[in-house]
Amino acid sequence: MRGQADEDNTEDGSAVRRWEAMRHVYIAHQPKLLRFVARRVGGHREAEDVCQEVWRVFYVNYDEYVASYGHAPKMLYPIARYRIGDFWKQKRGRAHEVAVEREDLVGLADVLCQGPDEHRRADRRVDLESALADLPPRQREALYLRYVDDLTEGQTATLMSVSVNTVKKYLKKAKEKLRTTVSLDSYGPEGEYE
Amino acid sequence: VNHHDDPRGLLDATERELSDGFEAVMESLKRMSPQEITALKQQADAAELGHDAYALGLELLEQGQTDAAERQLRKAARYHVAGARRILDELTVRGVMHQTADAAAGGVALSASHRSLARGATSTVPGAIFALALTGGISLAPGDGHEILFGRDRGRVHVCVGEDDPHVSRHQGTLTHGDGQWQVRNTGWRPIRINHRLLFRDEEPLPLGTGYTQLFIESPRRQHLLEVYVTDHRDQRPEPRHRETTVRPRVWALTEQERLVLVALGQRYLSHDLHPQPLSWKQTAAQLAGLQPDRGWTQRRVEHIVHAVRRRLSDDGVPGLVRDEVGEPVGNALNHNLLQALLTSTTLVPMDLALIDET
Repeated sequence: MRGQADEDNTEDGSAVRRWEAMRHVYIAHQPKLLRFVARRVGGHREAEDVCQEVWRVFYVNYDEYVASYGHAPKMLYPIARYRIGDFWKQKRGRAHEVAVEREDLVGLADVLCQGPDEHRRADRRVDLESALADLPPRQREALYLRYVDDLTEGQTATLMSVSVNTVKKYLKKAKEKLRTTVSLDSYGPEGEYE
Repeated sequence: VNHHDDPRGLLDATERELSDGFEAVMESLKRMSPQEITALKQQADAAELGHDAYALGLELLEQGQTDAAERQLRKAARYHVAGARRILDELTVRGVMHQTADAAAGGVALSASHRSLARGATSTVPGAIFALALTGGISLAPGDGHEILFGRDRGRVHVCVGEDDPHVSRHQGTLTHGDGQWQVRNTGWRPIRINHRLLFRDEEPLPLGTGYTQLFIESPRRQHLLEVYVTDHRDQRPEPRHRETTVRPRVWALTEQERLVLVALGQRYLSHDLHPQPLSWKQTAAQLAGLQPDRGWTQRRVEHIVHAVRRRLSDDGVPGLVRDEVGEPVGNALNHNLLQALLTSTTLVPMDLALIDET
C-alpha cells in the first residue's frame, strides 16, 4: 500500500511539475507572442484569438516537443506563423510579411545609434525606414525578428531555419550596412549630428 | 506595436493575469472533443511540416539544387511559411531573367533618346522588331521563340514601360516571334489597347503587322505608350512624299434631306461633346418638325432616311453599320458608327450645325 501511495505521489508530483512548467512557458512567452502576432494580423483583438489557438496547438503537442527538442517553446513561433497564415487564408488575404510601423523601429534605432536626443531619434526612424528597404530580405527579416519582435537569437534562428551563428552574421552585416548608409551617416554615436 | 491600440492592456498583463490566461487555455482544451483535439494535432503537424520543409528548402538552395529546393519551399508556402513564398518569388524572378537573357540574345538596345518609331526603323534583317518606350527599348531579329518582355519592373523585362505607375504590371506583356510573325500577348492585369482593340490578360495573342503599331497600357488616369515597328521584306522606311498630292478623305455623297437629318441626329458629335450619343428618332423628328413644320417629319421617316444611308455606306465597305456585324443588343451602336464614319471622312463637319440653327 505504501509503495502504491509513493508511486501515486510521484505521479502527482510529476503532473504538478509538468503543469508548472507549462504555466511558466505561457507566462514567459505570451506577452512577446501577442506582440508578434498583433503586428502580423493588424489588431489586438484578432491577435488574442490567434494566440489562444496557438497555445492550444502548442499544449496539445507539448510532451512531444519536450521529447523531440528538449526545449518545448522552440515550436511556439513556427506554430504562430502557421496560425497567422491560416488567419489570412480565412480572410482571403495574403499573409503580411512583416508590417513594421514607425513606432516599431524605436528599438532598432536605439541599437544602431545611441544618443539621448528624442528629436533626433525620431528623425533616425524616418531614415531607417528607407535604409531598411535596401537591405537583403534575409538580413532585414533577421533584424525585424530580433529587434522589432524582440525575439532571442535562438528564436530568430528557429523561425528563419538557420543556425544561431548565421543569425549573428545576418545581424552584424545588416547593422554594418545600416550604419554606413548615407542617410544614417550623420547620426554617429559621438553626436557629430549638426 | 502601439499601446494605444491595446485597449485591454494585454501587452502589460500582470503575472496573475497571464496565469489566468494560461488556466483559460488549459480549461478550453479540457472541454474539447476528441475530434477537436485531433484537429489541433493536425495543425501542429502542419506547422512542423512547413517548418521542416522551409529548412530543407533553404539547405537545398545553398547546395545549388534549385528544383528540389523549390519543391520544398512550395510545400512550406502551402503550410503558410511566409518567408518561403518570398524566396519562391525571388527564384521566379531569377528564372525569368535567365530566360529573358536567352530569349533576347542578339537584341540591340535602343536608348531613351531614340527617335520615335513612327518615323520608321531600319534593319538589315527583314521581319526584325523594334520596341521603344520612354525609358528606351530594344530591336531583335525574328526567330522562333524570340521574345521581348515589357512591363514596369526594369530588372525583369527588356523594355520598361510605366516604371512609376503601379497600375502597370511588372511584366505587362510579351512580344513573341513564331510561325513567321510577331505577336503581342498580355500577361498583365490591365488591358493593352492596340488600334481600337483591347487585348486582355491571357487572351489569344494578337499578330503584329509590318510597320508601325502603338500599344497603349491603359491606366486609370494615364496611358503608357509602347511603340513597335516590324520591318517588312522590302524593309524600307516610309519615303518622304513632300510634293505629292494630298490624299483627301473620301466624302460620301448625301442629299440635302439626308444631310439635314444626319446633322440633327449627330449634333452632339458635331458640337464636340465629350461622350456623344446620337439623338433618338423621336428627338430628331421633333427638332426637324420644329424647323420645317410643313414637311411632315415623323420618327418613321427619320428612321427610313438614316437606314438608307447606313445601307449605302455599308455596301461601300464601311464596317459596323448593320446588325449582323455589331451583334445584339445593338442599342445606339449602328447610328454611333455611322456618325463616326461621317465625321472622320469629313462628310459631316461642325459647320453643318448651321443647318439646324433655329436662330
